[in-house]
Amino acid sequence: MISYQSIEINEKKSYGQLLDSCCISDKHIDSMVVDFLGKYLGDLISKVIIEWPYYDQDYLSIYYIHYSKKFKNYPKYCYRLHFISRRGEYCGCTVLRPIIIGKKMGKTYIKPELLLKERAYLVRGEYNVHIEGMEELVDAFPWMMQDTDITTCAHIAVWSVLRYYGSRFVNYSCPTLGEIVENVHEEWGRKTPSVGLTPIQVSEILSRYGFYPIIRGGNKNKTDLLLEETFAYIESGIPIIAMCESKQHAFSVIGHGEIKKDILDNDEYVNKIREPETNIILHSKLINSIYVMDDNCFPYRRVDKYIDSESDVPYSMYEISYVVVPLYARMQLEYHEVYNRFIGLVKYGGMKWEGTRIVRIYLTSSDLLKNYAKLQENMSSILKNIIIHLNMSKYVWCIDTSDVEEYKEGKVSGKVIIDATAGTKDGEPWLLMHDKGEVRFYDVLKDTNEIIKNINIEPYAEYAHNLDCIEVYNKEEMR
Amino acid sequence: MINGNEMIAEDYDRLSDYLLTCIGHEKADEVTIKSLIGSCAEFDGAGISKSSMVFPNPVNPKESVSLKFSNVKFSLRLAFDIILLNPVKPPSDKNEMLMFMIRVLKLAFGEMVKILDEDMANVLQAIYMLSYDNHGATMEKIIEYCRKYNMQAESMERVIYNLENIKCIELVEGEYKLAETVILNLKNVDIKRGI
Repeated sequence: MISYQSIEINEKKSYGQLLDSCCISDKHIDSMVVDFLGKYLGDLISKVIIEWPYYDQDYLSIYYIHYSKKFKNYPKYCYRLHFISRRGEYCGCTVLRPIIIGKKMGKTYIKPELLLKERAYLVRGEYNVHIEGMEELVDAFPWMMQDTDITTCAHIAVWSVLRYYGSRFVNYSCPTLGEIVENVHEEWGRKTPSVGLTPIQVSEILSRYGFYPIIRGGNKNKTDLLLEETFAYIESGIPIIAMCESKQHAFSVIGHGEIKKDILDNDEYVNKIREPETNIILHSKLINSIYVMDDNCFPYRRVDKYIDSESDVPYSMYEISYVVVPLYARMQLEYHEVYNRFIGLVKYGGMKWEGTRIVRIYLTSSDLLKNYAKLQENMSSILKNIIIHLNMSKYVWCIDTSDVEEYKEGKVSGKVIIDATAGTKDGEPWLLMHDKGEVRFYDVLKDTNEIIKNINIEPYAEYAHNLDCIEVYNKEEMR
Repeated sequence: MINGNEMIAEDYDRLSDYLLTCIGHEKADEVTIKSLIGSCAEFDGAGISKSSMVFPNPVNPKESVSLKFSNVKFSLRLAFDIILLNPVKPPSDKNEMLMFMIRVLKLAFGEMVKILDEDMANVLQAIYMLSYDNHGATMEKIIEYCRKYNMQAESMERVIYNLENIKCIELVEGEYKLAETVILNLKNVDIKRGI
């Protein structure tokens, strides 16, 4: 019979009850689990429900291909802990696996609101959890620890990204950890036990699950460009796998932190981040942190551009050496190609984007873009009508431009929409572009470029559908 | 990996530990320094054969240690971005990091750099801050910028001459620019074992 046992949490030390042998077998829990829960969830949680036994498909998948072959006895079953907040909300769950000390936390879905210290912009999916005949929903991003024997940090990063896609989009599968391990292409050595994955192996695994991944990085002179590119894909709502050569580590990047608009008031800083000749400042230059799911740390850790001994993780954004981006088949044009085209457009395209302008580059689906345009109250009706009725590729690159004041108010006064299926050498990938007085667009049925001049386009709200803006719970209120 | 008397090291931790051992860093944060090195250092050709550290005898910890890191490509401009563009750190912390960076350069280029740490830091900072929009810093602008540090024009010229010699800066069409990368050769430095 499946048992559910509750323990009350009044303070951080209350998690110590989990170590009591009548709660959880000592093969499934250690003091690290208790320390992690106490430190990160603390007294925001009022109750932990212990479910036993729990058949975890990810643990079982590695149990059958690895742990069942060991001389020592490894149980098949896991425990699952469910967390209930002080408001009585269901906040998520974590699986406890009977493996080595320090690596016992398995598949975990926890609401990010509990764990953030400031506003963040994250990708997340919706996960169903069944508990005592009830179905609970958790908005989260998947996380687990590596077991070090069969799975390493890179396997877990791949698993978390694939699990996210599998749960959010019907055309992607939801492979178990064991399937991912089996799908590693290993030419020289054995797959298990594993000593880690290269960016190429990560890319190959993603290809096997229907993605068209790209690998970027590998040149420390171009770290700035790598970060710009990373931000563009994060802004597109695409979780990516990052690899850090100096720490021999991999993790998934799932969002970014606060946008520091006040930096725009610092002339010395603006001089350094403004692009020469075009006067544009990339929106990514105003963001100093990303959020990662790192199997060595608790979920939703902030990684800063500049770190010190107070930081959550022992590496900075600048230490990322490679990123593997899982793109959809119809996302063919890469960020750097879009960026270079745009620079050419700013210099020679004849659009009136004057003065210092902040530019945000991202991918989105044409359906979401049309939906966004439809909901804009301040958007010029002519522009709105064109965007809603324009024939577009399934995915498009968008470039939003604003002057400094518009940007501070979250508004946009120029937009470029680019066909994401355009070829590298395609000279005319533009589907639409506008400034404050002119719209140009491409009509695919007539194969002509149309221009509407002398209209008045007021600034309208920026596009914000790709990432969830997550506000932190008021922790004092919760206590 | 121990090979006879040599211990080959390709990893960043050992380079960081080596620099932290050689250079005084009482006030600078070790985590920041390790991250700076992890961000900017690049071992040419997978590291193992190119960058090495030599231990006389790892079994006897009291002996002095001879270390060697050669052909370490270091992204100088990125290091200055990380140190000077940090909007959160107070100027005193930035200065500590800058001085650490200067000592790394002096350690690598040894006798070629016979100038004061502070003078070198001031001039490099001036060139970095004055370079933007595809332009470098003219001598006049550097002199103007460094006036707040009470530096004499004569000593500034000597610093610039030294920095050009070690290829930390370059003169392009009358303007000085910070080099994107420098090659560090940290050879056979004997230190007391503390790594």
